[in-house]
Amino acid sequence: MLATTIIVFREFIEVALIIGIVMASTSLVKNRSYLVLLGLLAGVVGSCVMALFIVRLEEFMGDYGQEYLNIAVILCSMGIICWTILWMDKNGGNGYKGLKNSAATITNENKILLILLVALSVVREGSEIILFLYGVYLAGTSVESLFTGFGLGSVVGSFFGYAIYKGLLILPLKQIFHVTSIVLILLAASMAVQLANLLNQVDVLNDLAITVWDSSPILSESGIIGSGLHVLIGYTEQPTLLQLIFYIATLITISFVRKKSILAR
Amino acid sequence: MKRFFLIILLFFPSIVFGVDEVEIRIKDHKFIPEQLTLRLGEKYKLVIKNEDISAEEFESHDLRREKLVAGGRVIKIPIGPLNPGKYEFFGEFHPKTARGVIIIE
Repeated sequence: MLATTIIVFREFIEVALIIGIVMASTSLVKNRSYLVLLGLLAGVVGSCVMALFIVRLEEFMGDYGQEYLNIAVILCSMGIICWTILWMDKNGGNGYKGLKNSAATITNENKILLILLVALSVVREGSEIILFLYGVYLAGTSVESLFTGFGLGSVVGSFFGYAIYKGLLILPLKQIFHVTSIVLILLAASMAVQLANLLNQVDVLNDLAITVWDSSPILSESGIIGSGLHVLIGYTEQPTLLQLIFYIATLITISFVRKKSILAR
Repeated sequence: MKRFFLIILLFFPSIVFGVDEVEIRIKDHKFIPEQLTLRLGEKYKLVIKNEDISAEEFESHDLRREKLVAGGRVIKIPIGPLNPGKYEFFGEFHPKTARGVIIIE
């Protein structure tokens, strides 16, 4: 049961943190809880489909089907996050009043992107949880113990998402948008780190897969703090040169585009 | 044309000569073999055959690889070229029993 709890927790914390940040950055959007819930549901359904489909993925998409799918999901998520940052810049310029007005006029397009972002983050981890739990069940673990493990892991994981949500909401309203923008930029950069590794895993740019440092003795990536930081700021105990390049390039690109779009106004 | 082939041979030898495939089986949530020795500075393709009915996730922090392999299925993971050393891997779903190491000499 403990093993189940730990694995469910590790998969859950990623989704929970992303949803916490999304909830905080959309805190002025009406009915956002429903939108996030809709995203969650879509994500759960998507995860079930993926869990069934992953078995045959290689047949349809070649040896690296899983990786290609992951790359596509990460690129989509990064795109939506960047778009959200620019949207916040555009609409948050007039201070709190501007925020309130723009929040009231959130379009259907925005809503769909919000649902999609939540759904995509669930799908990435959800199919793993399902396959894992199914395996534990096949191994003869009782359903009660399975549920307890899943329950504990998901509750503890969700707690971290709730904590970051509350933490961001403590900020004065004027600063919320500013700080969440930075949090979102770091989230996008941390996805870029995963993207770099996925490219290596399909044998692309492997010459740049040189380890830059090893901080595993100081902070392990599989611990609670390490895995949290991995999601939030892209902490990696043994980053490659390619990951470092992707990380910095993402930070610079987003900052540059932001500055340009702010100046353009 | 000759020069073109020479360039390919020089920069992408794996295209011409192919990459060695290394087979690792998963049975009863254990890797077979649990230890393998590979050559220094060469690329390989790990072919992981899951003979159990339940899924496993092949994971290695040292190799920076992570991939699901459903029950009764086969996945392929490219690795290398690697420096000398020990590279541990494990099955994330059964980390107590499913453990192994690749040694590069």
